[in-house]
Amino acid sequence: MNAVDALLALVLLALAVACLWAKTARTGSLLFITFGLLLALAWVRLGAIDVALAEAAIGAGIAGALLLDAARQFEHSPAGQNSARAPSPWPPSLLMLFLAAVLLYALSTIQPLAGDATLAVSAALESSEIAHPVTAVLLVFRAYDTLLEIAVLLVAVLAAQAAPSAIRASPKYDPALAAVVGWMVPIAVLVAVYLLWAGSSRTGGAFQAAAVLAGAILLARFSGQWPDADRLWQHAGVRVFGLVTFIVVGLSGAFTAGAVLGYPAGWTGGLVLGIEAALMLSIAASLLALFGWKER
Amino acid sequence: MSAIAMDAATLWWVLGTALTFLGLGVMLAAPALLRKLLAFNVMGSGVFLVLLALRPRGPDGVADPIAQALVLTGIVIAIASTALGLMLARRYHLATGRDSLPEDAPEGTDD
Amino acid sequence: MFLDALSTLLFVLATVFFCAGTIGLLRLPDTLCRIHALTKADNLGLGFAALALIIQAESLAAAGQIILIWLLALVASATAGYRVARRCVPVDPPP
Repeated sequence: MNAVDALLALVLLALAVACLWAKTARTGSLLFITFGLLLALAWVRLGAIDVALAEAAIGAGIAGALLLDAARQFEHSPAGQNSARAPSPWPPSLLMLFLAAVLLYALSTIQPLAGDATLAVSAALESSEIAHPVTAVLLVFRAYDTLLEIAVLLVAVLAAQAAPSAIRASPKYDPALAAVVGWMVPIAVLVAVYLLWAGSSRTGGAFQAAAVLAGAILLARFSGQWPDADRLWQHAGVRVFGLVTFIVVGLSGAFTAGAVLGYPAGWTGGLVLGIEAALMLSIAASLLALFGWKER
Repeated sequence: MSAIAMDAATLWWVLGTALTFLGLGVMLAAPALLRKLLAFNVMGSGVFLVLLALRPRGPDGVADPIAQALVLTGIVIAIASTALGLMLARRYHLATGRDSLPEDAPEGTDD
Repeated sequence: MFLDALSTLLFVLATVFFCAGTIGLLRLPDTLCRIHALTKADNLGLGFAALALIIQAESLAAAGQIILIWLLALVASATAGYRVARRCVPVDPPP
């Protein structure tokens, strides 16, 4: 452990406290974005680069944007001022301290099986034909988990759609922003496609790519330049496309590879890339749908 | 508990524990719905830190790929839950104008 | 050895500029002034940090990536500053 790690951990703790005790929800959301970005640094220090990418893109970017969006609606109401007061710390704090002490004691006595899982994954990596261990785990060894994860995301989108969204005015056309966005969006799309492609051999993957793509489309929305830009993205078919592709490929694996969600030898790389591409589009559309934006 | 002579990973799961119970405490104590959701996210981040920091790293310093996959899945699920919670909170706010549930309202405010 | 020393010096310079930006953020009177501090000082600090990393980069491609990241950060920061400023001083676009 070195001084930088200790400093980072201290700053993370201070940011969490500041975020939770912030005076307004908007300040809390902004501090949460900062917290998420520094947490991405912590993931890098732990050696988890894929998680760092996902944390920065999804955990800080998308979650922060969602929270800010909601905070904006809440601050325009008179009744909202009352409970914006910071929480009083007393009632559960003793219980929390006790539970934290119990957990710390328990964790300090854990003897982890040294590197067993990592060795098993590296040994099996050859057979999966995917060069990057995390992608191999996500889409070959534990593909079922990822399939269910996409289904959960879709269920959340469906439930969120059930609540009628607030109608808001289309953003006004802003020439400076439109000029910047005019070439930022293509660059962002390029970065997203690169992340998708890189996921098969190094850090990257469908989730991170989807978050960048969703960010690009949001930018396009905010510039007010292409009001019809997300007519396509709001189509329900795009959201379902990834899950359907995954299920179709998985079921076909029963015939071609002898097991559901198995891949025939030699085709793994291509099939995984195809599934990830479909997932990227769907997750981006789902993340956009979670914003619940309907224009007048 | 020889936590004073920490090694690199220990620092992180100690931080993760602190964040988890910080988030849980605020989630229980704070009446405002948005604050509960913020606390929920902080708690989730703490749990992920504990999960990943406990696993030993591979020979080249890369973290355990299965733990990474689990945390990645967790991040996506957390954001799905947060988005759903936010949608419910905003719908509730649109319908009633309140930003906390009546039973949680701080004393001194009436229904 | 010389490269390491140069990198360290550039990182120290970056820290100095970031501190200057933060002091500006805390001490300057209003939002428009603070945007100055954030966009100019912080991005200059980022530039020095990027330079320090480029010296240590293991390949030309990695150095190119770092430069690209710095340029994108500049653009993002300038655009964000512009949007914040627009919020403070609303200006209607020409018809």
